[in-house]
Amino acid sequence: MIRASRFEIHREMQGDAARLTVTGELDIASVPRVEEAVAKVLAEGARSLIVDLSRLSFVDSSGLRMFITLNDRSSGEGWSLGLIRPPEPAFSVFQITGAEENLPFVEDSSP
Amino acid sequence: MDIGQARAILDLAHSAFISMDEEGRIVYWNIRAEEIFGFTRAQAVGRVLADTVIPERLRESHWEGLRRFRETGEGPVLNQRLEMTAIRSDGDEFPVELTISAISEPEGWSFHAFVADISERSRLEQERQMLMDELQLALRGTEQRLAVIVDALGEAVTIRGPDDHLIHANRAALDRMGLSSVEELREADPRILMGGWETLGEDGSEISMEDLPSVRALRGEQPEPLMLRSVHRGTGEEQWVLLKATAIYDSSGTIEAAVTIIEDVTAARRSSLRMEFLARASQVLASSLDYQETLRNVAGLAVPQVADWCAVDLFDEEGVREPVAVAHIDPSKLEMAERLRAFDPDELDPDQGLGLVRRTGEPVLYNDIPDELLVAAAVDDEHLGLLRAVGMRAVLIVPMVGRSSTIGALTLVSAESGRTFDQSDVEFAEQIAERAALAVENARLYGERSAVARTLQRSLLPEALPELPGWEIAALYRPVGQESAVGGDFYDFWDVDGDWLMMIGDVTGKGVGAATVTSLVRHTAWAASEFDRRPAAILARIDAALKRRPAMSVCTALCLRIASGEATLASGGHPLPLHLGQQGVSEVGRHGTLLGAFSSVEWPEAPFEMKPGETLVAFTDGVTDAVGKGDERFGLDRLKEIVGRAQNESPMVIRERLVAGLEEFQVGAQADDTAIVIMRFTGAKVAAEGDEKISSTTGVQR
Repeated sequence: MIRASRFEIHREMQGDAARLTVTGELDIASVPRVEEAVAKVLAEGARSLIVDLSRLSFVDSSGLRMFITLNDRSSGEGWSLGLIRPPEPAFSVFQITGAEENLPFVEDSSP
Repeated sequence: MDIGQARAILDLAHSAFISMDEEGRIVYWNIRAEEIFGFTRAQAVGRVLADTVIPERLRESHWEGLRRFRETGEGPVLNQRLEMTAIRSDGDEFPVELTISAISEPEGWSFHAFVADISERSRLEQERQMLMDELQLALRGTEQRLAVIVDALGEAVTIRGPDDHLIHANRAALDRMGLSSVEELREADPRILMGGWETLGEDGSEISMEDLPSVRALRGEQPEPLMLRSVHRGTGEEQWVLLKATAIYDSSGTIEAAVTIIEDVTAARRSSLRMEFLARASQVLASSLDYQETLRNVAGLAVPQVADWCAVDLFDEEGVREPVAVAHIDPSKLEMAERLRAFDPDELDPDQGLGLVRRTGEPVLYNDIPDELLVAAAVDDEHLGLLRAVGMRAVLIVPMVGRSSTIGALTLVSAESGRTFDQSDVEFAEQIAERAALAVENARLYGERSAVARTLQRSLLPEALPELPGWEIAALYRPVGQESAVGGDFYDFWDVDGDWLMMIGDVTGKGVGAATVTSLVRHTAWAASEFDRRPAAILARIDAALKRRPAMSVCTALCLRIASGEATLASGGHPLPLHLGQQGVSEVGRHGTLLGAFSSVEWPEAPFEMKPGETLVAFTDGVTDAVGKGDERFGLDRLKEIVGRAQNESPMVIRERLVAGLEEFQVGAQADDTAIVIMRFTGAKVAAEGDEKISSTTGVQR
């Protein structure tokens, strides 16, 4: 059964730069919503996408898998992906899998 | 009942339902009103009713009536059945029957009408009346004139004299009775004539001559039209007819004769009965995934309406039949039908009966089965005796056509009722068979999926936990979902030259796709360990194998190598196991890279010592990610707490405590697969004898 977790996506777009700020728990129930939001900004012409995970309280393996897929796609499709680190303990899934070194985590440059 | 419910019911009503306010404006308009009058609800509501549905010449009296009602409260047209003329959106006038009621509400009066379109009814009434008038006139004239008029009619008409004898019938009626002339008709005894048919009412009861409308009309009654089902005893043809009769009086007012108009309603009657039947059959077929039970129910439904008995057989790929169901009109004959079916060979003859239907996918119809056919079909005297006792009049076999082949057949037999089957029966039976085939395939598909899932799942876990010398082991595996789910979690134990290897992992995804990846991971691990037993080397091989797959395949795995109390651990992105010792509970090992995902990889190995009495608990994220109240996760701390309190307990006990802890914590359905492996080192004496010895002395096989 899919659980309805408290989850929100906030979207900003300036030119071809998009930023999605996700709040709550990223799990099998909320992953499709992020995928949808990403597809939408790309369809609207975004070439540079920042996904801000700093307000996530939890990420499970399906969330991790989504970022791996997005990262693979971005290099193939010629757009750039940047992830802003989630706090502990949501970051642990990235640490224990070595994703910390392999996914494009960036420092938050927004004001 | 609230307004919403009331409206929903009104939308289902066969009549139009219209509400009007005191000002004469439409405030409600149901779906039937849309159909009858040609205005949608959106168009109608708010319009003036009179301008919408009443012909212009009648509008004044409508307004007059409304005015009078408002002034005096008198409404002579209210609460009674009225026949009026209405108008459609295209200007067409048509007759309606309606009932109007008025309700006093706080904001004034409201008026509500049920309106039925009776154009068809009044047309038929008019025609019948005209016919009757003509006939009455004719009868007063000469007999020739009567014959000319009656014979000119397309409908079958008979005239019955006061002594119940039929004195005239037109060509259509003579044909129906199988007679060549009116003379023949006049000479025939009416009872013998009627005896040529089996005549049954709508409810299946026998109809006698005294029940016929013409006979009742002769007795001075005013009979209602009679619907009857007749089966000709000679040809077996089944028909539904509607008989309407009226008395004809002579100039002195004495009943002189009764005229009957015989309307053949077979097509309409059958189609409505069949629609009803199909609706019921579809319901039955969709009600269960147990297709054998379902087919038995359908066979039961088919009898007696469609046939006197009905049997269902399924075929397997080699053409061997599986008798599934048989139903008989007479329960006492069921046993005979079953015995008869037992004579049918399981290996089908491709040139007749079921075998022919299976081979060609076409229906087979045998009407008027002669005795020779029975003799030819019988395998021995007992069989022939049974065949004759059944008294089969007709047999219809239709294929149950599945997606790729004929998966079975429906056999309909007519015996007691004496009727034969016609083309419309064949088409009807095919419709039933088509639905039955679909139900069977759906049920089978589901059954197959469950079986595949179980088989796959078994293949992804060790048959049984091995006996590791010096160790006690317990494991738990709980996939999400029931029958058709294959989980992505797995664990495995195997030995290589005396070393034991344990692996636990989690493949992302579910179902057959995940199972394929799991299978690849396990086989790669076994093969890799033949060359290099180091956990990091095994993980590296798995990582490489996953990266060779075309679709992204990602997996976490923990690989543990055990040589007596010496253990070496490497993790491929998997949560580290818990170590329970005298100092308490802690994670052991070092994190490593997820398998199949990244270009930059590292699997640091961590050797550690297990002392006797110490326990290792490995798990998948289904445990720590389990969701409790308020969206809280089970988490590593709860897991550590339960394990930490299990000092000196056996793996079995720890497993039970973890299951209980998870079940207590969890809210709602389990969201992810869960696997746990618990290993306790007992420090058995063989451990001291060295690796090589263990290998040769234990002889443990996977």
